[in-house]
Amino acid sequence: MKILVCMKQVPDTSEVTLDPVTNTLIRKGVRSIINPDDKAGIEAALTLRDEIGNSEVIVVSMGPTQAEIALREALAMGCDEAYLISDRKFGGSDTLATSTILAAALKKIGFDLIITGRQAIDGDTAQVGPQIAEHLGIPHVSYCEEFSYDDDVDAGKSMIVLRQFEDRYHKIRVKFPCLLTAISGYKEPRYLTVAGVFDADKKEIRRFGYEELKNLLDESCIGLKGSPTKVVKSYTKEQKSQGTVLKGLTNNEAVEAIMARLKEGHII
Amino acid sequence: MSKDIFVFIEQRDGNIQNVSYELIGEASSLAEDLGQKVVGVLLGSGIEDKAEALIEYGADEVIVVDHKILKEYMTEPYAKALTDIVLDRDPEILLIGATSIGRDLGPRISARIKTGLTADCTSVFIDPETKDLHMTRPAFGGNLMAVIQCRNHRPQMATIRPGVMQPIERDENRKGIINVVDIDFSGIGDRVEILEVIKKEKKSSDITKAKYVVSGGRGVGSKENFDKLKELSEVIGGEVAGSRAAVEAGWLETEKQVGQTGKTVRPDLYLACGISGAIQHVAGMENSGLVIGINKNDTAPIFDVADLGIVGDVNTILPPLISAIRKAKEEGMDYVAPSSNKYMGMENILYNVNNGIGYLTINRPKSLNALNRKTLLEIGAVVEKLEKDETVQVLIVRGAGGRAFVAGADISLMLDMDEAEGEEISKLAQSVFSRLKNLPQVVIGAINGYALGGGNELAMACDIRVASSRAKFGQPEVKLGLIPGFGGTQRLQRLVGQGYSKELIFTGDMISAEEAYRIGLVSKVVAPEALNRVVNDLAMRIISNGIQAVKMAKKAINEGGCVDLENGLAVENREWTSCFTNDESKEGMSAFVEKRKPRFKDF
Amino acid sequence: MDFNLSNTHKLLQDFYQRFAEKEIKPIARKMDEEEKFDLELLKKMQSVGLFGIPYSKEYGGAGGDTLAYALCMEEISKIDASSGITISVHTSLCCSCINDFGTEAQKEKYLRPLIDGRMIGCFSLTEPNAGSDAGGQQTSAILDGDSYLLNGSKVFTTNSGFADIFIIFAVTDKAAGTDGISAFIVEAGTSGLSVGASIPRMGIRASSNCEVAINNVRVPAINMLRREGEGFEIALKALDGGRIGIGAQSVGIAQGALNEAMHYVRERKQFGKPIAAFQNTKFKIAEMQTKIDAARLLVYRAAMAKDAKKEYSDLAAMCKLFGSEVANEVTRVCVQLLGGYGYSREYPVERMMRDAKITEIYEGTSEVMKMVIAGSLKI
Repeated sequence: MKILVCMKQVPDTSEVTLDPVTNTLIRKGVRSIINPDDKAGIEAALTLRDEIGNSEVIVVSMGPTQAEIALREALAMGCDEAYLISDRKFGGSDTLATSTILAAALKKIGFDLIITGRQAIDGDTAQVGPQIAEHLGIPHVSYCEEFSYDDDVDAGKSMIVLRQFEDRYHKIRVKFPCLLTAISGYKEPRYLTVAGVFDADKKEIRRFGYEELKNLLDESCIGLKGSPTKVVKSYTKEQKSQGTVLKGLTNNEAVEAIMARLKEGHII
Repeated sequence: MSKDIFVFIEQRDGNIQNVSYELIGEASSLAEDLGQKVVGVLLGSGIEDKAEALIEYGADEVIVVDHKILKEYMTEPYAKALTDIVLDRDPEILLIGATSIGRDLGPRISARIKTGLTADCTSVFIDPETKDLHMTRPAFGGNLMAVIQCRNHRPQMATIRPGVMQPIERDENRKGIINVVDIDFSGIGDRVEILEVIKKEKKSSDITKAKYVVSGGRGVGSKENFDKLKELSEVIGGEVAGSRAAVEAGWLETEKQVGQTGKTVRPDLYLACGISGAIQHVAGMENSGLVIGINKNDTAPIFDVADLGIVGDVNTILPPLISAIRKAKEEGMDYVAPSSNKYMGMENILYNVNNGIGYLTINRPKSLNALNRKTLLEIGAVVEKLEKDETVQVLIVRGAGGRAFVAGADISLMLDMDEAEGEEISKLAQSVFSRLKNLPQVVIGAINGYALGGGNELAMACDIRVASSRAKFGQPEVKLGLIPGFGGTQRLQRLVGQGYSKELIFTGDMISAEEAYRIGLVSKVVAPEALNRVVNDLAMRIISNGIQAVKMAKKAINEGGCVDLENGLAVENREWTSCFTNDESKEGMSAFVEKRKPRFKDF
Repeated sequence: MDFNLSNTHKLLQDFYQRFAEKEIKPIARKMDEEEKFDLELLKKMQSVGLFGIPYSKEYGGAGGDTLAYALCMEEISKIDASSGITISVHTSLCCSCINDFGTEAQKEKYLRPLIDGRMIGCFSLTEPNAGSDAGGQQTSAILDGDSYLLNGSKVFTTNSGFADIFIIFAVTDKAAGTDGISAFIVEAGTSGLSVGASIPRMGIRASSNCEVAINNVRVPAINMLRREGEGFEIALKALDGGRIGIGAQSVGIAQGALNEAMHYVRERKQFGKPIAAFQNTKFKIAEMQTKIDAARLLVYRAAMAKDAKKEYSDLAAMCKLFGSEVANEVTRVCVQLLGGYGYSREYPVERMMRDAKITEIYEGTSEVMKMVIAGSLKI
């Protein structure tokens, strides 16, 4: 079975801080990581490969050349092959254009199953996975926690997944070919191994640019031009300033003051 | 041509989810700006009778698809139904709740109809010039806010976070159309099948993953008292944690410890109870969202990192807090005024005082806080009280509800007025606003929404105006055959100059908060959710200065604005001189020379 | 000349860092206080390949190089020097002896399980009366049929508490001086080999470090490394390589302490501002980072020389000499920057300061390093 995993290299947003003077993001020194939901997808794919046997896991990432190191990490975790989808023509793509490009690349590589992360921690959109599935005309199930392979006589080859909602789970059977989006936190992804890193070093990371994909792509649907949404402005959030300290309140006044803040923050 | 604001109505087990009412509320305000309708799209099984409620909450039309395939959410049947409806009706905007359903459905549809989708928005508004939708969303783990547009594709799609928009008041008399449609689901096939629906009880007890953390320290006092913290954490759906002291006292398990030697948490709410906030504790929680600290000791360092600090005994505050939260949760979506009305007999405004700051809230959200006679009189009564109240240093004026500061004078009441009554109401408003302007206190207007006509005039009577990015300003009186009568023709030109003032008044146009900022009508524009905090901080910063000096400065500026420069300078000289007669200036200047912080509070 | 790490080395460095932060940081203080290495952690480190980094795939190693190993020592020691030394003694002292001098059969039987993560090794050279003067060995090995009978005692044998394989040095020919010393591979559990309790120490307290008593321990002759009399040369060669690891460990301890201090001074407010705003703090930090970087470059130079199969024993000695001095100075200054909190056990810098001291002592004291360096300069 051919399992494709889409992954993105992202800055570790838990390390991003604001410069208190200029109120801009400090990106220097922030480590790049494989997006956590994508890493959960890699783990799910590797586990499936080991269970099913006779399968391969191929990681695919769209991004700049620097994303190679993240692909190497995936190889060091045990993935079999890696593709970097990179071209200046792809720059400025929003989620719709990104999913269009990725769908073309995945189609060219070929697949039985596609796993993506639910969302990336830098954008948090959760859009690319379902959009890829739509472009490819295959069903998708997002927010998946548990993955198991099922080869039922009647139903045929399919995946059985646990789909998470806020208040419930759906246990869902979905037939191949399909796309699943994975959530981190359900299972700790494996570490890479030192040996894996040196093995990965010997592997080639294959590259697809516009030239390789042009038969599958409409140039007006990619890059900045092909993106319906545009970021017109961005700003850092209002700096947290000195708080308010209230003294000499009665208990009821204190409760009132706390309640006002909780309501303001939509906590209750 | 594309038209109308469509809202995907999310239901689970036939119950309409709160986020849908919130989105209808937001859609109503967008629809008003565009002159279009709000259309709810309700998909489900056995849900036809739920459509009425959506109209009562502000939908003009509800499209209902009632089919057994739609009982539990599944991507394809939902995507098919919604896509068919969208293709048929060509909406201008499509709003979907950013839930695990909406975030699955939204991208599938956007890819199918090839339009843009902006995820997880926290605010949306219509650009007054282009009429395009501006969508604001957080990125980079919430460190960055991005404003996104989708100019050339329709519908403009956005998923919107639950809990950030305000529903409007339910009105059982509101009328609308319910439109039941059939969708052909025959092509769906059996590639995806729900085998089992499992209701979730699972709850993570990992404090690093909790959205809300109630944390206790030595000040909690005993293991029994800690149970109150646990109860509170359950009521708000969070986790309980503690400082090293609490763990070492055996009140809490080691894995619940926050700090240098424990875990690092960054929840949306960190409620620190009886925690002093030593540096090694703060190291584990400094990146939390809202930090509330309760501690007996007013010098506790936790107050340096808290957004709200309460000096008091946590064990006597928690029990009433728990009941209050329970009550608020039961009351559900009903609008709850941010503060209680301490003055009986007032119907249309709320007034209370906290720590030297007075809060005057115009509280007629159903009428968009429009000013009528009674409201003006009530404002006047508060102003009169404030003229003599030395315990209040700053007055914050704001509007209740999420949509308007004050949308204007109440037109329906002015309809039958004769000349004399007209004269009287103008004089009343002018005098109330002038007295407000001349209060010894600093008056800050927190402009959260529409400030039109009398609303803009009230705002202009404040010393400082801070606007939410959703606020809109204007003097539309000429459209009704009137002119501004509560000070607008005079105060506006003094703030923004005659030219722009004339344009605004002659055209009756509404301008955005950004534009109001550009022309100097307001001094700051902030995200809607940050407005209260920013205004509060501003008030606190002013109070921490020499307040007598602030008052004299206000007087000098106010008086100087009415006279020529020479006389203005004389006023300044008079006020400056009188600074030397009080101890505040001595304290301020000695502190400066001695390189320490002044202690103005003592004077 | 390129001062940048390759992508492969960067990836490894990042991995070591995350592994240490996730797996070691939460238990480092506990291990130090209990003076006991966490055996679960040992297994985790084995499973990701930290015990066979610079060894060939042929025998189950990771197929890496000395630089990859030095980066591991640095990153792990940044968080916990005890974990660092546990890896170091196994890798560069025990395994290197078998890798560099073992027969095919010895490698298959012992090197493979050691570097593929099944066994832990240690290195018994130091004796109560033979420290810097390692040539003064008193443990004896007498040929008896097809095996040797070993008698004597060893001290400060790191990892001995849980090691599966011991490299034991013993005198086969008393008259020949250092040329009479031989090296043996001894399996734990061999009759007569007994490991005492861990020796109470000032620092690296989590690492296992015991006395080893050797009473009529019978070792098959085929377990001797090379030939009789070659043991001292084997030991010196292993120690040369080991010093690169200790140099890297020193850099790690120093950087770890400085990172803690930098975080602290930004947060800690005194006299109304963060103490990072004081020039005294800034200057100290600038000086420390400069020294650490200098030490790091010495480590990289030595590691790259070893990988290039060039003469490196003087380079290794320099990186250890300088690195260990930097580690001691930096940790001491960092404790001072944290003041009372630095002295308290709630912050790790006091542990780092205690741990740093050993880097000037083990695998050759600073004085021995100077002898080696001076020797290479032929003065």
